[in-house]
Amino acid sequence: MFDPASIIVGLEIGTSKVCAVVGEFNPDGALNIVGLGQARSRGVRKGEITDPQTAEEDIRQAIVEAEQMADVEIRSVFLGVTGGHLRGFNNRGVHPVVSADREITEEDVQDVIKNAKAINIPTENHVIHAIRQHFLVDGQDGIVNPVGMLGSRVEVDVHVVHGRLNRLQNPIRVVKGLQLEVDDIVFNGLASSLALLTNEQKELGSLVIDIGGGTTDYVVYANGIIKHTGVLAVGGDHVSNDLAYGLKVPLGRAEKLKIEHGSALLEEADKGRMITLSSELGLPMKVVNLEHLRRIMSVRLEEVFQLIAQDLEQAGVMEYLRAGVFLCGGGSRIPQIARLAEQVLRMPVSVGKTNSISGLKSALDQPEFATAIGLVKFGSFQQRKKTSKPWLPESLKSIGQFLRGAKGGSSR
Amino acid sequence: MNASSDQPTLAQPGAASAAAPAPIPAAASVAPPAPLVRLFGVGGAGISVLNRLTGDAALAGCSVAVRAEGGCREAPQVAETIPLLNLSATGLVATSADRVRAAVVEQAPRVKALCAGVKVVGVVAGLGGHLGTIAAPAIAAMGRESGAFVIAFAAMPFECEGSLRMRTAEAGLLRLKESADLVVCQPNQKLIPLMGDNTSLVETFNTTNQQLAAAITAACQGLMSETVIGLPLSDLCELVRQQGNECVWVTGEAHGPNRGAEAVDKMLVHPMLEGGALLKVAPLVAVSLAADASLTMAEVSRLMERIHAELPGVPVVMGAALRPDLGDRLRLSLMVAVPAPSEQDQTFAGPQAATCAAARTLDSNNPLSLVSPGSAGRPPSRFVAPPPAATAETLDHLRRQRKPATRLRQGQLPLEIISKGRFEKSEPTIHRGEDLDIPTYIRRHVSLN
Repeated sequence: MFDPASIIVGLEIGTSKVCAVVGEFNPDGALNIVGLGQARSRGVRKGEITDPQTAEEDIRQAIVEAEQMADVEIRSVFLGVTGGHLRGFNNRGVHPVVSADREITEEDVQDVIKNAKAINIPTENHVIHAIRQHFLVDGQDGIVNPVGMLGSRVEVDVHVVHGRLNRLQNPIRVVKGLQLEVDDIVFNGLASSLALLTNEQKELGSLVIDIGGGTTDYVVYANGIIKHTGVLAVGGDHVSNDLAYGLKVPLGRAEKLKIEHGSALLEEADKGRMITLSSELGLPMKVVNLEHLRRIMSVRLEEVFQLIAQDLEQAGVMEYLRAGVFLCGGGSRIPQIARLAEQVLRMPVSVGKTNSISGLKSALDQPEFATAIGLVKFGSFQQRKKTSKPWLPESLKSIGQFLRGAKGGSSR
Repeated sequence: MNASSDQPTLAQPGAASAAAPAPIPAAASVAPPAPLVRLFGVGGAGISVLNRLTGDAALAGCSVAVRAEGGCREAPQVAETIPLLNLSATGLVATSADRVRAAVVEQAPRVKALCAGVKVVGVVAGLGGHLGTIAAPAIAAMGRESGAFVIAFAAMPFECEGSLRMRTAEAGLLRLKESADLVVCQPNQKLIPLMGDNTSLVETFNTTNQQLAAAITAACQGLMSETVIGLPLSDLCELVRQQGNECVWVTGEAHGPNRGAEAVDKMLVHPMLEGGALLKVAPLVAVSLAADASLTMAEVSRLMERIHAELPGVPVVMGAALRPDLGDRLRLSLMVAVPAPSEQDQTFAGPQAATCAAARTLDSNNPLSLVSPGSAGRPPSRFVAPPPAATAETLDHLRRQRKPATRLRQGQLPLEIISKGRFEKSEPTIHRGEDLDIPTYIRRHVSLN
């Protein structure tokens, strides 16, 4: 008999695949990946559900496969969310220390965090994460815990990730339709970064780019905290679509060409080379120019990295990235993509590996499972928080209220 | 001191740093060959521009700073310096027009000696102040007298610098047009779109100086580099001169497989070209390409096809130079001749144009008497008298003379409807006005043969 509290499940409803990863706490408290289930995704475009019924079938298939592999019954999941509607920004909260001796107390800290989370966003939007950054005491930056320090003014920065409430509710409703509970929703980019980065890399400053089928999510860490997040509703699907249009082949064939012959860079040797596509009967059907194929891919992927670079430059976080860039997601499997990213971003780029977790080797080695593994890791942090603190943290309270709201919405 | 040690050559950068002008030797026994190009940076702005050419050793080595001591923000990093005035010794009053004129006359033999044997003389100045406005046309005239081909690079002031400064600059520009064979004019105001709200004053001037420096590099490219398709400067200037010898020179760089199309895109949105509007009315456009040996004929053809498509009916000349130091980058420079204002424009352009016209006629015999103190007289009236009643004959005459001011063009709908494929029915991904669902190679005009 398994202990449901020791099981954590991450569910990613992606544009190209639905993936469920099961993690389990060892007796010594370490997290271990014990199960993985995946299914081809059909009802999702640009990271958001467009056909709930088909999406439900795909999720069911992935969950069943994960249950069989892990030999557990899945009751709740940490659900990954993404989409072009998600936004991230930094907000600062200020609180004056009013005590006579000017000593900063736990209450002052709670108050300043509350102030930082009081943000002005459109009413139809919902805050997914309000991640605390460093404190400032009387203007002194980089304070990790100000309790016990003396000061007259305490400030804190939070990084807020928010999105449209209705669009966030769609995947929750579909999951609930399968009689599964949603423990929490997590931004996919954040989950991927949790899976890939070590504490040292977060401290040095890193950029994680998750190139999915429908979206490209990115997260910047510096000095151990999240500095910037972003979503670009462009992914591998766009590359396939460009190929289908440019090479005048059906979308399925374009997808296959991308996987079999694609590259992010056009080499001198590719020029003039042709590929003969054969029909199902083995007869030659069409000849495709390899140079065109790779040029189409190259310009699209280059544009994605350029847009990210522009955003990071605008946010002023480029100089923090001393550990370099880590790629994940299915798009990171494209040959030469790290070299292209290096050329555009002008810093070392590598395909990330989920080293900081143990378990199924087959899952951990694949960059496309980074998000689902990160969701499990996020869940493990939440679980540890719950067990170490009997009271519910403020952020979880708000998420709890949100999830209850979503439940109410579905019953109406 | 022997005679050759006073010869103002590039080999002795410190030789001309003395305050007094050095005597010019009658004949130097072992004189080094004169450089192809000699660049004079006049005043603070001119010197700042030359300082931005330090990356190009060939150009930096033949640069001369003409400065008022104590009056320039930046110290010149050039081979030669000609001190005109000593502001720290005489105070600000010393920059009066008369003193500048006297100082230029005093230094004339030295300037001419520096221009001797040189094929092209470039005079770089910011117009609007006394030093640049008065000394630059005078030095250009001296360069011409020495038999060199003279190109003036002039930066016009920002509008916020005041109308008086603008009027002085416009008068200086007219004088430069008379003294130089070609004037490359950069109205700084047009570069405002390149600056953000938080751009500091220093950064703003750095940017404008950088732009002018890029124009100088592009203009000298044909002379200093190995050319594959020649674009002789003298022929070019003759063509520009027929249109009134003012032009705008802009440059842009791009790299990667689609560098040609990207460079053209950058050019078309350059603020100096008013979003491409100036190109459409230009009487002449010269296209200059520079890249390493990897530049292919197909690439050049595609790029020129694109330019011809954007500028239907505009005469275009083209040159290409080899620059191995550019690596995989392609540098595209456009020299756009500015259409000369028609007589009608001059009549109705208002008081400012009237002042410029007045400045043009002002003491045209003396090249140094540009803005004499007290000669400005009363400022023009803000009230314009009503035009005299036109007779039927005048109207008929005007009607026959009237030409279309700009070429009106019939807009075209895109011939090809671009399908977004699987994203046809999904919410479009719009980023800075661009629909990212449309294939990138189409938006960036990457041709697939």
